[in-house]
Amino acid sequence: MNIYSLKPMQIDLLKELGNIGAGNAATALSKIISNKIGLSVPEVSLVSFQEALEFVGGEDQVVASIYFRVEGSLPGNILLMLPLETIKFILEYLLNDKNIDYYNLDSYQTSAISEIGNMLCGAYLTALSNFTQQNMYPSVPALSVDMAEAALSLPLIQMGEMGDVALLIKTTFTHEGKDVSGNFFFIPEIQAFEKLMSYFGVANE
Amino acid sequence: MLPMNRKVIKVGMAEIHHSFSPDILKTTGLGSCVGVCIYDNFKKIGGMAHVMLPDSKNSRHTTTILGKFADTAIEELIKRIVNAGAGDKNLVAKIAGGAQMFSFAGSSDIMKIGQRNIEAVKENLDKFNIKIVAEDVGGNYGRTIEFDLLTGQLYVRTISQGEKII
Repeated sequence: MNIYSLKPMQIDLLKELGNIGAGNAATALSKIISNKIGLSVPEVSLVSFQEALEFVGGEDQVVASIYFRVEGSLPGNILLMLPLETIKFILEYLLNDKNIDYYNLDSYQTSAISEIGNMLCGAYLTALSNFTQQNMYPSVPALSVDMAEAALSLPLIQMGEMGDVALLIKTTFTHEGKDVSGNFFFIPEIQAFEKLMSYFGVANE
Repeated sequence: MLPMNRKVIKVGMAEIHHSFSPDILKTTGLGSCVGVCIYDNFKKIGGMAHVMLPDSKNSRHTTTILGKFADTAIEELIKRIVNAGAGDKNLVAKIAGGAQMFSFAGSSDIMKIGQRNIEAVKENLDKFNIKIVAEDVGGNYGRTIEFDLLTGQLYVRTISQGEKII
């Protein structure tokens, strides 16, 4: 199956998945921080590796990335990228912690951020799993505070083992005035993409 | 740090580029990938590859993107700079990258891809008798690198570990 181009219906479906997943995750985050979280329209991109890095914003942009490997019948990767202001907000809110060295987070700070990541990823996958009737199991979270492009390299390398393109479904959430925002990347493997498309009757053949 | 008014050629993921002094070759956000620079310091010709994976022969698919794998990228990079006039006996290499960006207990093989990339790059350079004169590899942080074809210096920039020239 050639996935070098996506049909409009396939793009719509992938956007809808991004919406459903991130919608549930945003609701979870709203409950944690008792504030309403807004969501952007998801962006769906099928890109070459050269183009993929541009997807995470400018050169040398620093973010906290929480990575999850997803196993089950729709294998892939989830990368949650949070700007440092969001990390600051979370740590102040949860730990009342104002002393933050972003590059040497202590174990409480790392657990707090990882746990928020865990809840958001869990909410995203639960929604996706219910909608698609497929099983998806996330790994434990892994955290990195570094260049966004460098963090994205791991899921891209995984896609690189299977083909020359990566499918990225990105949803941005924001809360104006509270400095809370972030990007959800769902990066399904080709096998998962094909399964999804045939399940919803929009496969290429 | 680098002089202004010089041409900077961007090398994207899985890409290979070569050029001449005084151009600068640059790749941003190297995580587990390895930036391989090969150059002829006498003729001032050099190139850079942004390698993603160790070995094309173990690949589960066929590709025409030579820059993706250490074996095909290094062979192609040497071919290009020799065709551009570099002497194959003069070639030396500088490498950077191959970090493990994420880790958790019982990390799977894919998490350690950076280390495998470094090993594959070294093996393939050795195969062509190209000496590694400088390296900044491993660790758990990303790197942006700029290779100055005028001086042969490689600038390595990180977020948490500062900058260095190798």
